[in-house]
Amino acid sequence: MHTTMREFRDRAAKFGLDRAECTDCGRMNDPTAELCYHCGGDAFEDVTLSPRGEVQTYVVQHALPETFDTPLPIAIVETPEGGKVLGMFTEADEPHSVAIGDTVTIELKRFDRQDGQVLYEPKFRLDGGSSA
Amino acid sequence: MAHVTTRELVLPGYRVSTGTIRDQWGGGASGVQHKTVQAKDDDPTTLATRAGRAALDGRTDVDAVFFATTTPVYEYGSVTPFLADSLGLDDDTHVQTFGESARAGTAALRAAGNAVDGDSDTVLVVAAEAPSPAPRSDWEKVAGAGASAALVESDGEGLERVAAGTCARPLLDEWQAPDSDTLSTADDRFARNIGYVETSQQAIERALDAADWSAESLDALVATHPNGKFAGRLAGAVGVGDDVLATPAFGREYGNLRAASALGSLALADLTAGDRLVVAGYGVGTADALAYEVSEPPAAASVADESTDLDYVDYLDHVDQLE
Ligand SMILES: [Zn+2]
Repeated sequence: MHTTMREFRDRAAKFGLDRAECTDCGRMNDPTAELCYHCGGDAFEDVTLSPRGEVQTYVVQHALPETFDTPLPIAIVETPEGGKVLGMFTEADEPHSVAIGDTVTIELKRFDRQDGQVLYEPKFRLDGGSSA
Repeated sequence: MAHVTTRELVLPGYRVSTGTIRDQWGGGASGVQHKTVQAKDDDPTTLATRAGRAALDGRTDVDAVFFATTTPVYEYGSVTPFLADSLGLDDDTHVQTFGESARAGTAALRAAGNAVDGDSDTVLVVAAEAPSPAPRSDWEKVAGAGASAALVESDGEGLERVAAGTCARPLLDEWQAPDSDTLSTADDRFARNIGYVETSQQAIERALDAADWSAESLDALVATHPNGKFAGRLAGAVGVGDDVLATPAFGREYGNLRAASALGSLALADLTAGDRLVVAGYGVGTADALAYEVSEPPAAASVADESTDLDYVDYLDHVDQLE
């Protein structure tokens, strides 16, 4: 899909951290979901996730395109609302200091360029880490 | 009447000493000892998001976002709607972008004050810079990164705007042509004195006149810090003591944050209820000065001390100048 439309379409979930909470099973879905991914329910409540959470699991990537600094940890973070966010750590953090259970702040950061556009992603910054 | 109710400064956690840069290229000292440097995945938009989020502190009742930067991500195309959206604001928020010179920050602050005296109640002003100066240029020796923000409201406690002054002169003391990647600077003392010092001084004296205040009655002066020296000279020209110039070390410690400089200095200024304050911004022959009475000092921003010192090659990588 063209970069412009993809970035526009995905932004509520990606940058607004908007989710649709299933009123049947209580689990989180993409804000555009029509049926719950988990139970098939069709009733939702709009939820905005807090920009902070806890590392549930992570993997340290060593082989990436050269525009990225490696090693670079990628993690799933759970917010206090029970929503999960998949993302990279910011390049400001030491890659080997990440551990399961660490608390992080979710911040808007630059990710890549495509079609001459700057792409952003929510990234994780370790609390108590570098202020960048 | 317009009030500034919050003030914020975000400095990226990296810096480079200007000695490190001079060791590469030589040249004289500008009074800047360190300049702040963006993370590799930061740009004016990401820094502005952090500062704006801190200034809003969860609020979304904002009528307008005014974004000031001289290092825009696009030659053509606005990131201000993206900034507003990233701050959780609805698409009925009026957005406006200010640029052209380092005065953009105070131009936005003045416009925000006018807006809340008119059709708006609350305006978020954010200024951010993430420069990528050409290696070996004069600009490389001073250009710093950071973001500052202020919330301007028609009601509330904080800094109450009393008067404004301006001075706009056709003096091109800095310029960069579209086909050039280097900032040119009229670095002779005459241009600098007529430019930064005299133009800022004119705007400040006009604001003082309009407020019916004397320079002696001023408790705090916040100014743009183009380097480590000029703000002190400006204070002298206005006739206020060293104790009145807020954050005298701002330029020395962080460098030239251009549009974010005056608002950043405001975020750190030591203010007391009852103070008379002037905030002055300068860029390329133009200056704005805003006179405020402090009804209650908005909480000052805290700048993290922890900062990683970069060597020259790492610094070039951070500012996207590594070939
Ligand atoms: Zn469900």
